[in-house]
Amino acid sequence: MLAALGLTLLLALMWSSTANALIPSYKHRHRYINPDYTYSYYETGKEDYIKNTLPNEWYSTWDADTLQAGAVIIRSGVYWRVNRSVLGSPWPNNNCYKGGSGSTLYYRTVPTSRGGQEQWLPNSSQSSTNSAIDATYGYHAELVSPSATPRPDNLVGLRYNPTIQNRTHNTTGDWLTRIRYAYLNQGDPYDPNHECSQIDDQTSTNPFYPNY
Amino acid sequence: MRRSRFLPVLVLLALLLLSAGIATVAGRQVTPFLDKQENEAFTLRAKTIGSTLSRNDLFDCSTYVPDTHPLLPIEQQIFHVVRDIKVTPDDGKDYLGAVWSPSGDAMVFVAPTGDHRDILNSDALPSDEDTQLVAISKNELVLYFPDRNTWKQITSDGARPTWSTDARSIYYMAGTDLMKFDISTQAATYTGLRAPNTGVGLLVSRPLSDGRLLAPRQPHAPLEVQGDEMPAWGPIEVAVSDYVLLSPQGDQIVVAYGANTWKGQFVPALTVIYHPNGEVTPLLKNCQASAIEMVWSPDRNRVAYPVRAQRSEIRIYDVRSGQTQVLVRLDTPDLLSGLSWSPDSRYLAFTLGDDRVTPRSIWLVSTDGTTRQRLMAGGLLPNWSPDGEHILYARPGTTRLLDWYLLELSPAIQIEGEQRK
Repeated sequence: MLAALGLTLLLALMWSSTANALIPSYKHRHRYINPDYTYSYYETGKEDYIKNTLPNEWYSTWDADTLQAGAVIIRSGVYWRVNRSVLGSPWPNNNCYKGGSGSTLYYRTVPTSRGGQEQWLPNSSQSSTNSAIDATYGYHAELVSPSATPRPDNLVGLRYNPTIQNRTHNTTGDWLTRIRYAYLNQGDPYDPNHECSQIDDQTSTNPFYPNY
Repeated sequence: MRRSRFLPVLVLLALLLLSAGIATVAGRQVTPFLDKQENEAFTLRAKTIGSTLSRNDLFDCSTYVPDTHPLLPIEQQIFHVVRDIKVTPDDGKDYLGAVWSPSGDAMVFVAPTGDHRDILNSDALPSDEDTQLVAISKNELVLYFPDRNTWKQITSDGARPTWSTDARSIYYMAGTDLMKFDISTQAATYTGLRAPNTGVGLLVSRPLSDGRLLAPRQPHAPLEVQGDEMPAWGPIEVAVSDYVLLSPQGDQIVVAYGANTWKGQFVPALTVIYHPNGEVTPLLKNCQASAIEMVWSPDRNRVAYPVRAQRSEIRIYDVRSGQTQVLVRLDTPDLLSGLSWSPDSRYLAFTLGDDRVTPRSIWLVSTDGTTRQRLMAGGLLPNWSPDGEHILYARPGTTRLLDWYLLELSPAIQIEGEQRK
């Protein structure tokens, strides 16, 4: 499974400014947990979302290529989610962090201090991470090889965890090399039984929105 | 001749203007009139920020380099854990937190539903147009009595529950309306006080324990205390990007300007305290995370907050003396969060770690800086009961974000002047 994942990624990571015209048009939607235990619903520009997420997920003191790898990984997830929301998928958030019933159109961002996962924190952008995001503007993962299963687009929603993050840091080369290394190295970062698993959607009965 | 010569240029110009206008309206979804209103509404806010920024002695999280020596009180058993029981039922609700009654015999859980309430009238800062607060959740408020292990839904649409001082009623916001829930009759009534349907109105407005309401009177108006005479600190202008924290008695107020601003360059995040005598004390600069995690001591004399740095800290600011005490300094950048005071203000409970690099654990530290205790591995968001004998805390859930547990504590050390029960 991992080899296939790695091979797909090697083929997948390319940039296309013209593919999937839906992407530039829509904002990222997410819910943010407030200190008073309620949710706020936000719509934010995609790059703004990444700028207030990357410094909370990667160490902003890491080198530029590591941060650029992180920017592309986060952006790939953002593009995937935005397009799935636009396309009206029954899994618009890649079935990850979607929260309770009736709220699936909004991704959930929760500070880890409140038990959360991906951390979008207001007003947390930093110059080093902003530079990495600007330097990789538009770069995201796409599936290049023809897919046997019909798909609405070629987007690939990359996932990450501390293992992936550390791998982008613990190697040399440009950001693309580091993403490849992170996903090709030993160890399976995905748990097929977890709701955020890369392969979780393959068990779905709907063939039009495979995650991968 | 001349007209026909410039016609293509004029047509092109007209098309450009038309497309620019459409793009502006479509992109921002606000009218120029509203922009003008918003700018005018933030005059007092800008004045307060401007005068605060003139101080160059503010603690600045963005430039702070902590001392290299950790500050770790002696590890000692302060409390025994007598019982640890799960309290939230597996009913599919997303319980995100709870507020203890003053008597400690009940608590109100807040459980957001899948439904939401749209923000009809934006009062975002002019720079926030790329990120918009579009709605807030509707939430169930559920009353829980630990002794009886019974649950009672108060409402399916409430926020910021606040107990009355006598613990006989609960005030809460139902969207724009301040409601009162009577414990004995189990009935909710509208108090007649109301906030506007703006971001600030819906997100910042909150009841006071005496039944008054801290809220703007109308869209784009400053925060005021409705229902009685104005406190000495007077009206406070805030935007939806600011964070507001009332003291337990409602007579002091922390305002973290820009703590929720999405573009840090528009205004530095500034945290100030408004005092009952009308004075404003600048406290922090660029410490958004610290401000959001700030907690008042029950005796209202101090505020505690974490500082995320290369060596993370917990600090206590004494509002009477103006002095800041570094209570804890780690030798790592691990996350310190979820601070909760014991009712006698002698201890702070907090969470160390976030299950990424460092596993979460709940710790206690005495506020005189002498002792600390790792109360338990795992867990987060400790919430000390008013009787001092229980701590509500959360663990990551399997089917939802959080499951909640209740610890029963007994003192492990004899506290001077107190008898062991």
